[in-house]
Amino acid sequence: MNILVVEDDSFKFSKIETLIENTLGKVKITRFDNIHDTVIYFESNIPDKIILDMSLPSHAAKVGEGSPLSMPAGGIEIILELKSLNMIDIPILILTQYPEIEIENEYYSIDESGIEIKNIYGINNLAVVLYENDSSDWKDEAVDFLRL
Amino acid sequence: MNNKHLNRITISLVKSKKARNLLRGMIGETEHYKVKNTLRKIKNNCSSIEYKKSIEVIRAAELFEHNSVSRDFNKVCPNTLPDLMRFTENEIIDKINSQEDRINKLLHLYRDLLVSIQEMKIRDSLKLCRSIIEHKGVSCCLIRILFYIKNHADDYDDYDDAQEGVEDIFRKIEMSNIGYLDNAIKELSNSRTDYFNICKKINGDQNKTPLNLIARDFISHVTSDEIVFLNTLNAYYTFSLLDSFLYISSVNRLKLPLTKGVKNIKSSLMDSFYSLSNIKVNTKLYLNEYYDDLDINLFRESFLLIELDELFKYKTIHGALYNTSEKKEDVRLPVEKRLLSDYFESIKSLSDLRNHENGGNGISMDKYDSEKCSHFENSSALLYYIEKNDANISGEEKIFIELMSYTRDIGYTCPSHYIKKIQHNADSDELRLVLACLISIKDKSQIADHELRRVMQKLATSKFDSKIKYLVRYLYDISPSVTHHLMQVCDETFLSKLFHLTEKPNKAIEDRADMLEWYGEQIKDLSYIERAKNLRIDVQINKEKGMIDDSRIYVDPLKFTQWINDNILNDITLLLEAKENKNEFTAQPLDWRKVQNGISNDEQIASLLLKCYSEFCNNKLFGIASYLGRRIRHGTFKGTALKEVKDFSSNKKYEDIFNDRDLSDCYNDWLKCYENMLEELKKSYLHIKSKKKPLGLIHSNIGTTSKNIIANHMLHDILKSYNKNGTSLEVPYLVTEYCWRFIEEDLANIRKRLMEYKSKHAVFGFRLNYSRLLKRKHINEFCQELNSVTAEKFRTISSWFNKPSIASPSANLTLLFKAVISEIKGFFTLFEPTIIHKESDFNISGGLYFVIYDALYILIYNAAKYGKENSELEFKVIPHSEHQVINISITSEAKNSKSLAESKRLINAALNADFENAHIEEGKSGIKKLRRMANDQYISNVRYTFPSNKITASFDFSVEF
Repeated sequence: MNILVVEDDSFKFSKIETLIENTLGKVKITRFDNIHDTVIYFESNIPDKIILDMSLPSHAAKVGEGSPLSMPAGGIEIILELKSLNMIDIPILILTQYPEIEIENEYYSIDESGIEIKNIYGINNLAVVLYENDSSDWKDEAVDFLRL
Repeated sequence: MNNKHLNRITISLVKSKKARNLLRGMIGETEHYKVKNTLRKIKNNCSSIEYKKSIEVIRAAELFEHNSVSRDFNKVCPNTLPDLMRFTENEIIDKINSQEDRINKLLHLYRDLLVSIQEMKIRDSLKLCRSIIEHKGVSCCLIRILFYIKNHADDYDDYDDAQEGVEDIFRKIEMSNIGYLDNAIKELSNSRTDYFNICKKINGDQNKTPLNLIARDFISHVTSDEIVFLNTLNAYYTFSLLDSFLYISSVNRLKLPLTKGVKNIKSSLMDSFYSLSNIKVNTKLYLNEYYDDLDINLFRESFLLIELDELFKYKTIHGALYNTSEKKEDVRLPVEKRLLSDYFESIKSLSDLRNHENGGNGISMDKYDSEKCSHFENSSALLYYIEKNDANISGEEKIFIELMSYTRDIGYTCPSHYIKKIQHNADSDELRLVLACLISIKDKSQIADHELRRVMQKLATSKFDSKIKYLVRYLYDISPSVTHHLMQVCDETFLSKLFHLTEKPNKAIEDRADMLEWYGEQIKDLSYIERAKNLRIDVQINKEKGMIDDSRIYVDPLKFTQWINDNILNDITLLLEAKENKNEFTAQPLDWRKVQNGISNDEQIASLLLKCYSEFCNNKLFGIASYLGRRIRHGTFKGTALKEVKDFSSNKKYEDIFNDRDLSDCYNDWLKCYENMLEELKKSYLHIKSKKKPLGLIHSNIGTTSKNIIANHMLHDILKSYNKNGTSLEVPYLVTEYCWRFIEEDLANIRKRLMEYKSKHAVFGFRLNYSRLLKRKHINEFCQELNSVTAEKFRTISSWFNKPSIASPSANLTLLFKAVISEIKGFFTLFEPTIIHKESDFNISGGLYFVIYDALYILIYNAAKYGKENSELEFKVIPHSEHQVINISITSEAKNSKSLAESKRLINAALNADFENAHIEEGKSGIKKLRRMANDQYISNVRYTFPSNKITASFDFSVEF
């Protein structure tokens, strides 16, 4: 199984990585911390599952290459890319640190946003979960997602 | 009601004693507000019949001739009541009939006036206008005609007479009484302003005063809605009896049941109207105008002379298509359908439209003619064809793309469902791209934006070596208009999001610079080339920064100023250019809460400036919203405020304290309360105020008196800058600076709120008597340390809400110097100077750094080209605070004495040569350009000295220390 994790926060990623390993044992985990690299990855790869952050930078930050765009709804870019590639059946877990998600210039609560994303972008298998460093609630939902 | 009765209207006709008494108190009254107040009292205290009677009395009786509110016949413009009168169609027709002779007399004068205008007899026209005024015939119609004369003053031989004559009449008839209508007519008929925007403002005004209803009728004279008809009739009646007659007669041409009362109008009046409406339009008045705009100009002016049948028909046909309604087809009247099918009879396929340059230019009043039409009529033809064929353009895709260069505003006027249908059936990628562009003009969703990017990337990858700039160039040959649109769309943000083509952020800026430079050359517009150059400087500076930008700063100044350049500056410039005289550059104080619906020139500029402020606050990529989002979303806020505070419970030092249950419970309760407070700040207050976040502390509007004062200063400075420089180049920097002034008030409120919450919820206290076992000193120490941590955290968080020190685009001089050296090394591979950097550094902001880069470039380029290789290059920065200047000098070594003499000769020659053409013909050394920059006062004191075997070049530039 190949799980793609799109996450720019290393600390958060390490927690996700540990959770995946604890839940599924040794599986392939591919990580990207920006939208550009993820989009390019989709050109020749199809992951089995995706764990996705919402707020992402446009590109990798490298010395002398200019400032990446910080995109608060960057996760939607990834979803739009999946839609245009017709990869709408890949299970996606949106793991966000914010209790509201911006979709098409409107904010939705975690519960509403899952339905909205499904309706607007036609993603079939999607869960949206609030990530909190100090809580383990998200872990239960993430485990359910991974075991699906 | 018989005519005799109507002709002798007196107070006694009003039955209510109270109303009669109030009316008597108004006799001879000229003060508008007093008349208004008295009428309000009658309205509130008497029946509606008595109120209407009272209105009739003050409109007709001589005793109230100067009441200034409302008369049947006027010598000056009435200062109309804000509330609409409620007369029935028949009541108004009765009044019209009762004044048959007077109205007929006026109609004859108006007829003569319209004939005289079409014959371009300016003096006769103005004389007739004065005669109409003498006959108390001032009307909305007269004002429209006067605007028509004014708009065409250029076409008359005696231009000054026309301009002055109209202005003189405007003063005489007291146009200031109807400021709203004055602005509405001016802006609707001004081809330089955004037509749809003005229409939106007028139609969006919820007050629906009589003047607003009249302005709405200017936009759309076609209605089948009885309420709209009756309200508009009353609005015109408020202005004058003649206007109400002209309105009914005009609408009657639509042959709808709602004007059934027309049959009751005296036939002599209708005959006079027919005689007037038959006058032919002299289209020669438009033929001197810019080739591709002449028909839109006629359309935008058609409401000025809507009484003329030809213009009524022209506006009816094109107005049915040229609007932004998505459901225009559904509300179309039979008469419109008939006129459209008749006018566009010749169109059988898209090739029957104009898709090439045509020799002639003209206006087609009767039938569409592709051989002489301009862009506007051609657009109507395309919209008509799409409608008629239910968006089926199979086999005609190439023509459709070509038509984009011979039509206008299709993205706004073509209903989305048709565009989507064409898109669904499209065969070629080029057409898909054009359609994605058209969709994205109106549809600002992420889906539409992504689709446009997807199509562009696919096309660029498959046919243009993954180079977006080549795709844009290719499209220019098919349709320059599509290219123009893409030039507007493809800003750096958009290009950054072309993830399949743009592998690093700097590439987006480089591509944008390439596109701007190429396009500037194509359309011969130096401003594009200048912007390209400045972008390249930014790329160069980025490369030299040697560090990753901290994107966690407030509003990104560069992206914000670029956004203004790309989205707002053109519109502001057009409005600034539309100002007719110097007086208009003195801004009058505005109420910024109302400017969004305002239609005066200043209000429109203000409305665009508000858009800038809204973007400054709300833009999710570079605005305050982005900053707040990152601070909050990434958990920085809560993390900063909470982590160390929480760690206290696991601190060994306080283990014994937490063993005490009382204290431990107290701490846990307090911590919960503290966390809730942070959550409340995060969820409710640290936001841009909106429907979803009503408690948000950042207000992206101008809602307070102090912000209003600042906004008026901003407008004043912008007008002053344009008036002084003749360009709007400074505008983005001025706007950025003022946006920071606006938001300072909100930031101060956030800081205040944070401190208030800190005092309330971030101070831990513990009653010592609860825990006798513990040592008093130790507990005090714990409380003190905890409170000192929360205080420090809140100070840190509070500091996030200060204006950053660098709020404008900026760079320091050393960085500029390094960036220039690096760029020049690219041209001269052997150029490896030993850099000696002396004295201080200085940060330059507000766009001035582009100029300094240019100047440094010239000096260092010459040093590299003519100087000794691998020698010393000395860079000196000396501030002179007493003169508010900074002196920059570059000293390089000459190759040898011969070379020094030759350099001296060349430099002196360049310093003494003519530099006027420096921006067109750049000399080899660039010294001419340096002098040109000094002449334009960007820099000063350009000097060359020659100490020993060296050459020192220096210049000053002004700064505020």
